[in-house]
Amino acid sequence: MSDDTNKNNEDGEAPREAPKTAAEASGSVFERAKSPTTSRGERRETGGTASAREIEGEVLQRGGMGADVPEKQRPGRRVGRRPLTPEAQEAQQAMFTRPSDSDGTHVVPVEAFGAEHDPAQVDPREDTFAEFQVSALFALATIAALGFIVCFLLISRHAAVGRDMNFALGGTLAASLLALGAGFILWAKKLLPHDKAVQDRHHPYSPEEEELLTEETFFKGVTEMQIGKRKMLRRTLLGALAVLPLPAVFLLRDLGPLPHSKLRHTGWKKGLRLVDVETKLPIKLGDVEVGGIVTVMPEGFDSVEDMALAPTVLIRFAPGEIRSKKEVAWGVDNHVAYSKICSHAGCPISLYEQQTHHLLCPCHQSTFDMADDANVIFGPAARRLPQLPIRVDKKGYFYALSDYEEPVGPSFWERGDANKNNHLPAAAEESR
Amino acid sequence: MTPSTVAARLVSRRRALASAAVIAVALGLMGMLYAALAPKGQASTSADPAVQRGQELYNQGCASCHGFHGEGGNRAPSLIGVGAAAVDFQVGTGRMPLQQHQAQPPRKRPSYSEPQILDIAAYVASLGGGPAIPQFTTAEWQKADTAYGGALFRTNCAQCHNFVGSGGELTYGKYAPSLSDATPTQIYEAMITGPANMPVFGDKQLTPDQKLAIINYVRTIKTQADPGGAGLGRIGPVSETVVGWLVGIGALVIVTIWIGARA
Repeated sequence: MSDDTNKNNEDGEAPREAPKTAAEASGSVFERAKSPTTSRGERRETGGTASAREIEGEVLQRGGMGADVPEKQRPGRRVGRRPLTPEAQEAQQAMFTRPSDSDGTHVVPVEAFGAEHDPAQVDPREDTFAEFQVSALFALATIAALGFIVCFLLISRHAAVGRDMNFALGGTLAASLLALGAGFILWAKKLLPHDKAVQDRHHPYSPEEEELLTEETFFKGVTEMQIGKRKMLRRTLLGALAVLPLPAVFLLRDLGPLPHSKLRHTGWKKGLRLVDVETKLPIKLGDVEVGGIVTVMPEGFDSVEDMALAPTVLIRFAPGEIRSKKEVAWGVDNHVAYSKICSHAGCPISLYEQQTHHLLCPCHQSTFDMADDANVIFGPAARRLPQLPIRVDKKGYFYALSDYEEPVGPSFWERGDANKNNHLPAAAEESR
Repeated sequence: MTPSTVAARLVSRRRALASAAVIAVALGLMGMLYAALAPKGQASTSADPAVQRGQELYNQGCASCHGFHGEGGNRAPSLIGVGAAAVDFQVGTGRMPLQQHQAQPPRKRPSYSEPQILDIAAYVASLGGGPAIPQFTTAEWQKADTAYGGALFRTNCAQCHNFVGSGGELTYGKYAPSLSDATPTQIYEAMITGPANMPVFGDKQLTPDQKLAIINYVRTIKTQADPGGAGLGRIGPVSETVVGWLVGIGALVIVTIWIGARA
């Protein structure tokens, strides 16, 4: 049998009823959707009215089992399947012409597919073996469940909690559930009949009467509300609906205010000492060994904004290692201070290789050559790290000569090309 | 086998023996000449027997790269001023003597016994300055503040060594090693000497008490169990979740295919 015969049968049955209402007669959207036609005016098949027969026919076609499908077309689909015998075809035809049950379900017996494992025809020894397999799995589930109890009682829960205990309890419970589930599946696969049930698709439209009733109820309600007569009600309702979206507009204010100059300034100020980020103690000349690095903050830092913008690394070089004149001038006695915030995406950087003087960002592997004024030698960062000009006071503590002269951290829209990072600090600042 | 081929074989064997003997004699002569003419190693002026023993070991095992006076060369850095702690760390962790040239020497079984290492350390320290081998007891680091050590570790060490000390990659094949095998003394020595590319953390930057707290943190983390299964090196929850998903979902897909397959 083919799709064409299916369609013909389908068209033959269930002729459309005559229009009941004026709306239907004039062809409402509803109606047109319900009975679509082709350009030639014929009724078009929709998914909603596909019959079980058609679906089944499709399945058989796809499976390469349809009697009219040439074998050449689907050579790969025939593994493990038998072509339908004439008897099976006959049985199938009989099945399809029989009316479905009240749920619209046809039951197609396993013979129709030429399946080999019909339990009714299976060797009784094979059947016994399958039963034994399933029973063994159920027994295993029982044993594992008992094992759970034994493990719980035997393993000391104080010594082994989080380790042996977890493994033992989880393992036995999992084994029990797994064996139970596998048993059920084997049961279904080996011992149950393999008949195939096909059900008609549910009709996607409500019955005509319900649609009409709904329509009627709606317009009746509108009429009873007397929206045309009661002017005050109508106007206050419209007013309420008009004002309702306004709160959402006011919420937009929370997108602001603009950061203004906040991104251009950090917690560093002229004269602030460099303190250790962890101990909060000021750093003295000589505290950091050659090849050392320490994360510092401006003394008295406390706000979250400070933690976001001000972190700085203080690095000590051996004499003569620094190659940039500007870097030497902004530092003091082979010590230099640079922003710890990556100029790419703002991650804190401090993977420092003291022999190569490379500072690595852990997020995207931007690499800065700290002996060459934090020049970017690898990675996505577009700019050098800003340098903090530092000096040492009379007591030997490091202090900042000023704030960073350019914005630290990643780019932002209004940043501009603010690169003022290449002049020497004013000579007046150097004596203190 | 004819007699002539036997004779030829004997002759060739004799020739091989003769050439080996000549090479041996020549090598011996060269060695004597070198011993007579080569500059003597630094004559130890110290009366300390440890320094003298150390110098002997140094000249045999280290001098070929680091020079007879620890002056270094184009293959190895100078050892003047590195101190006893650096020697104890580098030789004690098996990183020195170097097995082959690579991005970074790996940790391996030490080539010298502990007393020998102390002798070499004493000799190198006698070349000039540098930090001594830190002396502290187990009780001292065990009573240090673990939580504070953890905070210091995350500020100063975690960027390279990972927050539980499992190590991480650096550039060009270099890496920050895992700290799981490091002894407390070695952790301390690494901080004060800055081996290879590790920054130096002097005693004024991280006080001895702070260092002991870090050591206690590293050792405590090492002994902590992984609740609920394999830690996967504790690389982090993301990696563990990825493995869980791939293995777990993979298994579920396979089981689903089995359930759905026709009998």
